[in-house]
Amino acid sequence: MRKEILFFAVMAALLFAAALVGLHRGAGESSWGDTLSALFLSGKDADLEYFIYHLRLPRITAAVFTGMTLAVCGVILQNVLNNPLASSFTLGFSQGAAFGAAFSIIVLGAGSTQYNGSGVVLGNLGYVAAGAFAGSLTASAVILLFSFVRGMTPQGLILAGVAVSSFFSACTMLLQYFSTDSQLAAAVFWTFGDLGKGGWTEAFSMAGVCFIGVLFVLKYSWDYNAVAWGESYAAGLGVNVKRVRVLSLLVTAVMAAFATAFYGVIGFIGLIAPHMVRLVFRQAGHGFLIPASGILGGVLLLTADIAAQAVIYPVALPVGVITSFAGVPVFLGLLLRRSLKNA
Amino acid sequence: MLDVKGISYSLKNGRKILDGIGFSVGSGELCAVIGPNGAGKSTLMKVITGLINPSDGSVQFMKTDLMSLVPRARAKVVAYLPQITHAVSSSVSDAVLLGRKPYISWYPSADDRELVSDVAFRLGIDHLLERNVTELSGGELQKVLIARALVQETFVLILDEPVNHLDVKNQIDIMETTRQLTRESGLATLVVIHDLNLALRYADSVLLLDGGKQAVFCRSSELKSGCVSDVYNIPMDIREIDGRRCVIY
Repeated sequence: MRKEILFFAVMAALLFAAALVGLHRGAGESSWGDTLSALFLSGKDADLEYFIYHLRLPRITAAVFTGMTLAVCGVILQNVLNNPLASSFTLGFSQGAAFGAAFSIIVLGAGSTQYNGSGVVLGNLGYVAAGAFAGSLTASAVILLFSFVRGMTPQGLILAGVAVSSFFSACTMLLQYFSTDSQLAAAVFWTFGDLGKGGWTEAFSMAGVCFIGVLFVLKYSWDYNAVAWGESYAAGLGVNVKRVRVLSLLVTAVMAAFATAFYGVIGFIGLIAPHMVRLVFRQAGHGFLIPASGILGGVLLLTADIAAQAVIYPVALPVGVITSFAGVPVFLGLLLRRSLKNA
Repeated sequence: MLDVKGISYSLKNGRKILDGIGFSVGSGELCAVIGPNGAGKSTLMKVITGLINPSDGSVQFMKTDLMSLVPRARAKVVAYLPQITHAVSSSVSDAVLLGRKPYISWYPSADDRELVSDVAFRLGIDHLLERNVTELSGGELQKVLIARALVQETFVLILDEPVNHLDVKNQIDIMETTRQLTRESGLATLVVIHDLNLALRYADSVLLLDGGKQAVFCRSSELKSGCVSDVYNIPMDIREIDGRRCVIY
């Protein structure tokens, strides 16, 4: 228990430190004193206050809650589908969103692009987000419909996810093939996960979705523990396995749809955060796994976002690239350490 | 008293897996369910637990129709331990605590945890509580799973092949424990088992299945070698050696 409390304390400290760094760094030169006085609205530097309250704070909020959402989706999907590779990315939700966004941009003309010197800015973001949301939900609806089929196994659902993922990728490619250069640039740019896409509205929506979603899955944490032992075991313990699976798929689909619609495709967090927690806390049940993966996901995405903006400043790299670059060696290292320990 | 009446179950293609099974097990009694592979033993256990809906028949406990109960309510009457396929990495105490699932709303209470300690002590596994279940021996794991079923505080206990892959000492240990708990807690216990000698030694009654049909249901002291030979299709003899009935084949 002491180890678990220590984990949350360390994560909270890391989150706080990363948030401070995120507030301080960014466009404009300022000292730590300037940043802190602007944070407390001293009125000394109106520009800096604007940067902090309209650009950096919503971005930090978005990073934390998007990271949490994706990580929690990963934990739940890996459990109910009995597959360690399950995540909103592997099930095709992200590819569905990418298709929806490409459809809005290319067919409905929702996304004009402007080049602002350090990156591409999408116009009509609301329509693109709506398209992505619809695309993500369509992909998840297919998986949900399959889950209602009698005799459908979790492995069957994973395979359906792979098929859906390939289908939407092919649809996106087809649209891109017939698009103009600027439409193609906009569609491709959208697929790069970028936490600067939204403002406070998106950040608050993300926080709300994350809070409700986490509360829901925490209520079912003992059902997930039972499902991990196998369907017969869980059913013998009074768990309605099918109901838990369908509800969990529905909730994670909505959570992932919000994250992807607002901020684009951010892979790997949903996969790496739960496994990192599992590798360290091998005996953890879902009552711990869910919040622990969530907070780790938040820390990882926030840190990755800060790194993405800093690595080759002033160019901001897609955050998904950083999550993979930084996460893969850590993940492989943990995996190796455990394998060597068990050898 | 657990009353199973006229249970039949067919697959969608019409193949009958169970055909008119009926028997009763009283509280404090252990019934061994025996029969060749594919006889329908595990399917029958799933029907009694409510995991499979039968095409016909009923399962009652103390006149309550178990089929009419919602899963959570049924799990407070029947505890079911399927065959072990894999152990999930968790502490022994959490693995046992999982048996309280039908009673847990958000998080387990202090009473739930106390019950886990009591049952672990009763089964002699209290020294294992902090260990990881994946590091236990087969016999220890089976005891942990029985402890889980006990904290479920049910009236009926169903164990599907609990002594598979265990050495002789552990087989005897698990069956002794099961019989003792059945007596002490007044459980109606069903144990699917392949070892006919263990069945005769520990069971009060025996249900012999053959191709989905009920070949025999009798007191274990009354089981005849002829019907066992017929079902298994090999010569078998039941003899009394040192006051104990043994199957020789």
